[in-house]
Amino acid sequence: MATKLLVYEDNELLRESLSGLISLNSRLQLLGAFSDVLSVKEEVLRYRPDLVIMDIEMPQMSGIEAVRKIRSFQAALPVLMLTVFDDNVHVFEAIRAGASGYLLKKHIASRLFDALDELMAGGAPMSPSIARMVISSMHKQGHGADYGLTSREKEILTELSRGNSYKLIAAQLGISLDTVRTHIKNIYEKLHVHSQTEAVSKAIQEKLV
Amino acid sequence: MLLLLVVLPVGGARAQSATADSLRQVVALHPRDTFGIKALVKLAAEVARNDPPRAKAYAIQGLRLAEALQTPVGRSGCYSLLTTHYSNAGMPDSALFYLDHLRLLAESMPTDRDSQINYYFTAGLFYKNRGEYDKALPYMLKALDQLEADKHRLARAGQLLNIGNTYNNLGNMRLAADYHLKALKEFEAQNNTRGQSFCLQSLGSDFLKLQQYKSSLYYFKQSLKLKQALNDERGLITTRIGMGNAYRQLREFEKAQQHLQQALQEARALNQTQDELKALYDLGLLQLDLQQRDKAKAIFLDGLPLARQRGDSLLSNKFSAQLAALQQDSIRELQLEKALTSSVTMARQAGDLESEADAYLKLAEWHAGKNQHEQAFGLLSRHYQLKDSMAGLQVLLQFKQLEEEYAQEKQAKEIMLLKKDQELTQAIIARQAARQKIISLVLAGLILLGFVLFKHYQTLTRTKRAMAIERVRNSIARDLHDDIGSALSSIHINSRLALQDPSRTQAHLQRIGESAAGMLESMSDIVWSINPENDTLEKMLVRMKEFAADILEPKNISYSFQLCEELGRIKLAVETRKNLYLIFKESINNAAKYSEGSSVVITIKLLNNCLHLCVRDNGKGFDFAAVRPGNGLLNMAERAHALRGQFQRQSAPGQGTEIVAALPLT
Repeated sequence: MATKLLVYEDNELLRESLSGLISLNSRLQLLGAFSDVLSVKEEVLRYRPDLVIMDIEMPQMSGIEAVRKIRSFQAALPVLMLTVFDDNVHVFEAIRAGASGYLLKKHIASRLFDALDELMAGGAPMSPSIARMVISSMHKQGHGADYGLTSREKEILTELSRGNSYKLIAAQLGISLDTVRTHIKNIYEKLHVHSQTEAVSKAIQEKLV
Repeated sequence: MLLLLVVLPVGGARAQSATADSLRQVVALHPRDTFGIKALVKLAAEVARNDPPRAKAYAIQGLRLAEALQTPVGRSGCYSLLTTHYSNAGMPDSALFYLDHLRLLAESMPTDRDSQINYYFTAGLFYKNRGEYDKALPYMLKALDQLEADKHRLARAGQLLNIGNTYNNLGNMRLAADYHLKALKEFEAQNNTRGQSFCLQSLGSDFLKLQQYKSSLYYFKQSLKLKQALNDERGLITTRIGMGNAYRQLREFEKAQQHLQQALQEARALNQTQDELKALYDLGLLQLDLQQRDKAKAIFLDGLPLARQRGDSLLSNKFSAQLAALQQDSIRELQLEKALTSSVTMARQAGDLESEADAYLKLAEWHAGKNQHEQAFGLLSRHYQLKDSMAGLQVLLQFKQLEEEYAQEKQAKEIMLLKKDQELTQAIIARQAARQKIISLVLAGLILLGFVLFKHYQTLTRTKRAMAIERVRNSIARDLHDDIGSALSSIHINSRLALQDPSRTQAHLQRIGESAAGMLESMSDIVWSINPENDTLEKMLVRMKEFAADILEPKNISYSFQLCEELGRIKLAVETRKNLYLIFKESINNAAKYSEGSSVVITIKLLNNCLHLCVRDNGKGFDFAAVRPGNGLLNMAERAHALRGQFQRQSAPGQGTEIVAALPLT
């Protein structure tokens, strides 16, 4: 059965070519492409997609906010973020908000389908810059705030931040490529869960709950 | 029929009276039909601004006629007129009575757009006049929503203006100015000078709130001119109040007084309570500025009952607040008097005649300051009486003083002995202090000299840095133009070719794709290289590894980096960073595309303050003598030379290829 998609992208040209690209692939079915995320909840509930492709930077409401909204009622729906750069803090924020993966816009033409397959198979990408942001945010938050990462996960993050590829890391640590991917997927989830509890405890501290 | 004309009569006063005359004739000709009602409503609207009582009479006449004929025609207009009339005249209960009728009428005819608009519009205006701006705003926006862009163009412009005014009152200057400018544009497009005069007025008030008094005056003056030409008596009042305020803020009190006073008189003459109240309030503030507290109080006391009667909660609160502040000041004075009186009592109880006398003197001074000369005189007499009686006591006191002096002398002798000791130590300390003074003078001189040198050095480096930035900027501009410019023109050309030469469309499209991909790559390289966060070699190595993995792993070419320890801390200039990275990329691309080898070794080391990059593959190799070097190789050499570095390549068939670039670090 074809994977059903929703697309959110404010740039009209890119949205159209993205739709064209998706419609070429018979394993994908595009349910809708929107220029903003203002009614993302209603749309996700109405169309029931298997996967959402979402631009990070959009006017009015950002993709990060939209992911947070989706996560409030759909814990498992995979969301792939689109971004121009992977070394800004938005990608990291999107992951903390619950994004399942991201794709650089310059790679859409060459890697979109691979990225979608990888995402549906439960994998997630992580560039050196993102790895570095995770590590430095752990340092910033001080001791005890390590998002509950295991020492193996931290080891992988460190290697990633040095620019080593998944393949190299697998070889170095004597584990399979899939195991590396699983670890990274788990890091994603821990970042998300931690940022949620962080928000809740903050709310409690500020007497919002 | 729409009644937005209540606030926005079209045309000048002369045209108005002509229209009014012909309407009166229509009324006379149609005393018992709906034409008559419509004419009455229009007539009321025409005169509403300059002759409110007559407008009210027309509206009531129209309403009676509509009731007599048992028709809904014209009722909405009459209710609206009457609501606004009573609201302006300071009779909120009567206004609410008619507003309620208007609402019921609108609800009974949900499809009649005009009566909906009349209701929303009138309600918005009513609450706005009462100073309940946040309550008014939703009605006003609803009215705007109902107005159609083509049919009600003028009314729309007017409503934009009203909404802007409400935002102004709510303190949201951004939205206020936004709506005012929109309205001004609309009015200008329709050549409606009256509307323009209102918009200019509102902009003046926006600037007033933004504390830009000169600009505010500018707009007010423009508005004043237009209103004078239009003979808009009511409008002139508001503008004068605004100007009075602006002059007050600029501390030109005479002009302020003049404008406000004129506004007050005109408001009273036209029975415009709202404007009267505003003028009163501002006059009160002016008196406060002039330190005339009693006058200010009298003015505020004048205004308060008027504001209450009018039901303007905001204004009446403002009046009471001012009065309360004045009251508090007088309470403070009362407390002062009380304190002075009680100090007299306390001194008397303590039997301290001198303090008592002093207290009388102070109290007398206080009363003199309040112009209460009789009290002051009485108190002053008490003061002198006490002083005189104290003279008798003086002798006794002198004895006591002698006694004390004796005791003190004894103490003084003991102290003298101690002092001699102290003087000795002090002399030593003084000598040390003198030495310290010299040292600190020298130090200060040195610091001054250092500072001067530092400043000099700073300007030098600043100039150097500015030049460096200029150079980098030029180089970025050049890169952008070279890479992106040529890629774009190639795309442009190829798309032309693809359209004109259908047989080779595929090839052209392929070329377009490649150009675009290359452009994406160079864009991200340029952006990366100008980000100052990436200026350490460490960050650069991460990016190199990433690139190598991207290119070599899909081709199953293994690779390794051999790096020496001290690399991490090196900082690279933008130029060096960019060229080193591009040389590296080119060499990796070459190895992946042409070498047909299975491994690549990348070595980076520091030698004689030069960074050495060596990329070696184990592929088939080339005979450089036989193969013409491509653009890539030439580019690499050129990049190395641009940094005054060196570039070498070595290869032979069957022996792999090696490139070495040596780039100086400074």
